[in-house]
Amino acid sequence: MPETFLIIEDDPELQDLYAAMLLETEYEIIEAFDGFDGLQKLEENQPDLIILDIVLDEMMGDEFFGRIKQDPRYADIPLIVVSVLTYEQCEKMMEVDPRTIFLRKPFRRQEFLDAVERGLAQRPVQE
Amino acid sequence: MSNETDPRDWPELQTLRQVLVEDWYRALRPTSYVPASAAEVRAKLAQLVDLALSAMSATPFSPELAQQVGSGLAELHYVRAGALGRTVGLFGSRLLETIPPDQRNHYQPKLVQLLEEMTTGYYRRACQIVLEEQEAIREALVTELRSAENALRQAHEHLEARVEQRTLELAEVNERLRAEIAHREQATLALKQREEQYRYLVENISDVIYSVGTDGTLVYVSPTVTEVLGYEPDAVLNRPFLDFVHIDDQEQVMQGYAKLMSGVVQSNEYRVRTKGGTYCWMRTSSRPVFQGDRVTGTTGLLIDIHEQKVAEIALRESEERWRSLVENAPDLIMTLNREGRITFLNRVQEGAENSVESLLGTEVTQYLLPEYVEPARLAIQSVFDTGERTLVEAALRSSSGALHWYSAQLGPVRRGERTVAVMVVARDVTERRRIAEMKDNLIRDVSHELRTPLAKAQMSLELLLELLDKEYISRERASRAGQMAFRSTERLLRTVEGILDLSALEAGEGLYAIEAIRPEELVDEVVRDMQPLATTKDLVLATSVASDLPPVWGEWDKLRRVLTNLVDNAIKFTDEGDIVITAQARGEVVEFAVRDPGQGILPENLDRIFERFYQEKIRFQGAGVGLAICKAIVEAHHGRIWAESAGRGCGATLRFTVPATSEEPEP
Repeated sequence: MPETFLIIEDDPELQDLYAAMLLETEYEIIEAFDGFDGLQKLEENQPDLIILDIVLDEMMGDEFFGRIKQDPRYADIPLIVVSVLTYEQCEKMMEVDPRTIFLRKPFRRQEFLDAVERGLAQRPVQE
Repeated sequence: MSNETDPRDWPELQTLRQVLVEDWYRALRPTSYVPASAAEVRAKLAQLVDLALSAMSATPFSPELAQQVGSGLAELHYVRAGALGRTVGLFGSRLLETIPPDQRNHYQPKLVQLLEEMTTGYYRRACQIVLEEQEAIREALVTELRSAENALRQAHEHLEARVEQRTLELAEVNERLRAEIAHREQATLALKQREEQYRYLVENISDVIYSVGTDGTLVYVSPTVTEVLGYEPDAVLNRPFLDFVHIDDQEQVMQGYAKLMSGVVQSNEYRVRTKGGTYCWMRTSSRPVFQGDRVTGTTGLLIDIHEQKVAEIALRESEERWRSLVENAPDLIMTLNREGRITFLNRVQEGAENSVESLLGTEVTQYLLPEYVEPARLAIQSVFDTGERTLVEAALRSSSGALHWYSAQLGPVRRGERTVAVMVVARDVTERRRIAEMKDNLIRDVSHELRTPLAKAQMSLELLLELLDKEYISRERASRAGQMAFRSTERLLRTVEGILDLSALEAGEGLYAIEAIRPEELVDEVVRDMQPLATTKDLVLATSVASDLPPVWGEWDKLRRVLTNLVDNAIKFTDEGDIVITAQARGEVVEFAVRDPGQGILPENLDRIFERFYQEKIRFQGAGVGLAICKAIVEAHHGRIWAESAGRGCGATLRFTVPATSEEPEP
């Protein structure tokens, strides 16, 4: 069964781009366009990884981040923050924990795939 | 033969005894003065009855016992013949009735004898009692007499003591009078001596003593005037006092003099001319001289206070300079005592409700936000402990609720080696902080704005390169990547131009290449440019432009940029439906509008979306710096820009106006 990613990104072109970057992989992608949308999709699916943009139109990424970190159902899902903001700027906006993987835009396909690998490795061992 | 029985063996005896006791008791009661209780009297009477019976039965008859009964009766009641007759008689008759008939002969004579002896005993004892009482009365009289005698003697002695006392008092008064007379003589002598001392003082004092007549001329000046002012006394006598007073001080001196002449003691300070022509500060303290109720002149002391006064004026001037410096300083300046309480404060912050007075004596840290209280306390303490300056930052909330930031320099106020207070110079750095924060936000926002399309372009170009490396190229995918890179660089270029516009407009460079522009041409060109982007989202760009619109007055490139920006935003926020671009005449302006059925705008953000740079946090994506640029351009054209939206999910309309012109555009 392929791993599922929830990608929260308001720019449809970038959604398209991420999909293209992951084209040759087995992963399945759920798209969400803002924080509200993201929470909605979480109710319906149990993704293995969340890829989160920060600057969104409705409910910014930092608020989404704060909410899922307080929800025991989602707090342990590996998370990759992707933003054009610097790590320091993001750190000011939210309480980044050591597990959070940070990827600054633009990034190369290989960097993205590596980050995804690291994220998936964080998942609790099943069985 | 002796068949007679002892009366104590008579069968009725018990009854008899009781009857006898009760008889006697009844007879005695009305006359008794015996202070004993009824029970005691009855017990005594019972004894007497027994005694009488014993006397009867005794052989030979005992007159002593019988007499004892009588004397016992006498002791029980006061001496009265009637009482005696009743008691003795009752006793006899009762006893007679009790004697058994066969023994009457034997006992009757005994009974008579008993009664006789009882009577004798009674009288004897009664006489004795009377004698004893008489004796007691006599003794009481003697005692009384003696005590009266004593009292008399005491009264006499008291009288004598008083006479003696009075004599002593008189002697004392006499002595006092004599002493007083002596004292008065001494006082007169002392007065004389003191007068001499005063005269000596007046002649030798370093201050000048003077007298002024009612006409204001000097009538007396002490010789010290030569030493103090240089004049010989004769040179100033009979001259108007005012002649020697500095012209600027004359009015004040005259006022004082008028009060003085009305009888009020005055003290004054003014400048007096010396013989050398210079002026010397003097203090006078004058009092009116009375003759009866009438003031006949004044007399006073002229004291040289020149050096003191000059120093005082210099001090006051320096203090005033310092005070005005402190009071007009842009900073808050205060001193704090060891407890951190305010002991001096130059002023309150602007717009504050508190007065300086209400803050004095209060602890300065109480006004700070909680997280700054402890650092401030430590800083104050450290200045007291080390005497070294220190810098501290603190924030407080003003009464209006606004947050104020202060950067405060703390330094010691020293007295000798000791630090006695802390001087605080606090500068309001709120504005500086706000500007710094705004600058940070601006850099963050602008870099975000530039980086976003750049990142997209770079990532899509990488994807394109990878696709080109593959054996079988997906043309469709490669084209999409290429278009995305192209559109991103286009947007990047627009943003860079917009930022350049914005900085030029904000620097006041204004517009150039102004011309009359046909609104329909502007709308057509923007729609043509933006159609490809709209097509990527399957959106329709519709237009509604009246045909008879007047031209507008403006710069083509800039107005096109405004409209492009608005359409770009509309496409970004809309997933399906029509975006309508309109232009219509509204009086002397043409109003352009871009309406989309997209996400809409929250009411509280309608104004803020144009002020992107001034937001605390990034909250509006996409609109970006674009709307701020639009606003600057529209305002440079003397137009207005605003947003309308019924809220989230209700779409939005952005409108702007540009002044119309009657000039015809060049073909």
